Amino acid sequence: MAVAGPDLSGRRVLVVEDESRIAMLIRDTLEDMGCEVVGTATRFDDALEKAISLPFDVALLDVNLNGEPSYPIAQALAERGRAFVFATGYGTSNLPESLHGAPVLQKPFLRSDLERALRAALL
Amino acid sequence: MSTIPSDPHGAGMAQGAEENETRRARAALRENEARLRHILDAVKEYAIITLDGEGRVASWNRGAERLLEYAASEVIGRPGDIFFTPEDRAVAAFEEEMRLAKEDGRATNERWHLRKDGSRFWGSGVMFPIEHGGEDAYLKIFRDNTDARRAAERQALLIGELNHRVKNTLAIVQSMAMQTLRSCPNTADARDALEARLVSLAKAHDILTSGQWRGGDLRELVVGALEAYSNYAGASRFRIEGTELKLRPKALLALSMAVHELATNAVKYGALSNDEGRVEIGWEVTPEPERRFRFEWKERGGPPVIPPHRRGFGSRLVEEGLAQDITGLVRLRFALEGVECTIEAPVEEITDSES
Repeated sequence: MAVAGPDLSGRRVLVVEDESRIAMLIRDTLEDMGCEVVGTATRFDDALEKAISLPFDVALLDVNLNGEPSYPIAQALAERGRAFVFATGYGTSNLPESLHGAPVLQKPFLRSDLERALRAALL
Repeated sequence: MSTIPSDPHGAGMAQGAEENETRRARAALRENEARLRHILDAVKEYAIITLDGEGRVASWNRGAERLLEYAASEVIGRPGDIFFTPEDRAVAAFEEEMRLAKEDGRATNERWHLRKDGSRFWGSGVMFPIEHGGEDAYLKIFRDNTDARRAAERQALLIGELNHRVKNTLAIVQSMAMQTLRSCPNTADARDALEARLVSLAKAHDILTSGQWRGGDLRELVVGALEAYSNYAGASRFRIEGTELKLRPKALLALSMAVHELATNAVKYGALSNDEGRVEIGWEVTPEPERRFRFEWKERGGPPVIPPHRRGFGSRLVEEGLAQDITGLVRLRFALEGVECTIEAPVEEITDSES
């Protein structure tokens, strides 16, 4: 199935994921898709700092960072009008109300799921 | 037509009998009421409350006094939502309960209630409509079901957590499978490597499961991870030295994966690929105030090491993956005399805070 939305090649992506092996797969998949991974973060503080300071087009945000929800990071990004996609192994029912409607990538995911979610976020 | 007695004496007797009858009936009624009161008050586990058509408290048994800590005299005539939480009052939950009771003949009452001192308990019960002197009225019966509620909440939490862990593990397996397939030159190699990685992951999970997912001992991890290789190469070729250290789950999984990758490499190209090479494994926690965890893997006696021309997935797992998972430093050196790997991390990053 064709994936609609903007082209992903050359897009700069920030990857926030606390599980290193999943982070590696995401990074490799993104690079295969022609994206540039500008940074990775595994913990909340580091992720928040990178989300505010690094230049990127879209952030991929693991919902649960070592037990800590990443919602405040998403809210900070939303306030700055920057694109992001949530990645989660949980359902989406516990997302705070202000973040309803944010693109969500369910883990484990297909490459095409990742593409679709990123394109939806970049629209 | 009723029969009117003609005999005046007979009429007098009948009148006396009627009075007796009324007295007896009243006494029976009083006795019945006392018995009902007694029953209501004997049921200490249950709050049994009646409410008038406007929802004001009409009666309040001992059980209600005990459960809600208001005396009957304090609440009779007051609105029946006095023990409802502010959030339930905000959505008119009490009025809704009365409406449902009236419409459906019963309304379930499953919610947090407030005692007089403001503390909460989970009330489980029902509300029924009753008629009192031709007026609408309600009967509300409930008990403290906090323990069951808490157990249900814990269970829901555990199921959610389990679901998360399973999904996360599947995502890890997906990642390992994809990366193994990308990095192996042929299917046979990929099959062997993937199988070994999955078995290693399963073993680490065994250690976690036996410790109820709170963590596991590092020595148990190292011995377990090298067991297959000890059988194959001989236990005398390993020297394992280190203090007892309880690792938290994430560090345990990450270290177990790293030891597996190092051992696999040693068997294929390193100290375990000939008959005399050895592996020294040691760890320590440096003294206060630094308290850093140091782990060393050192191969000696194997064939001269040729550094790989391309960094494989195994090396990436050790160098990037482990470093990230333990927030530490990992150095992998392909020295001529043998592969060496040193791992360093703040001890609080890898150990269980409770131990």
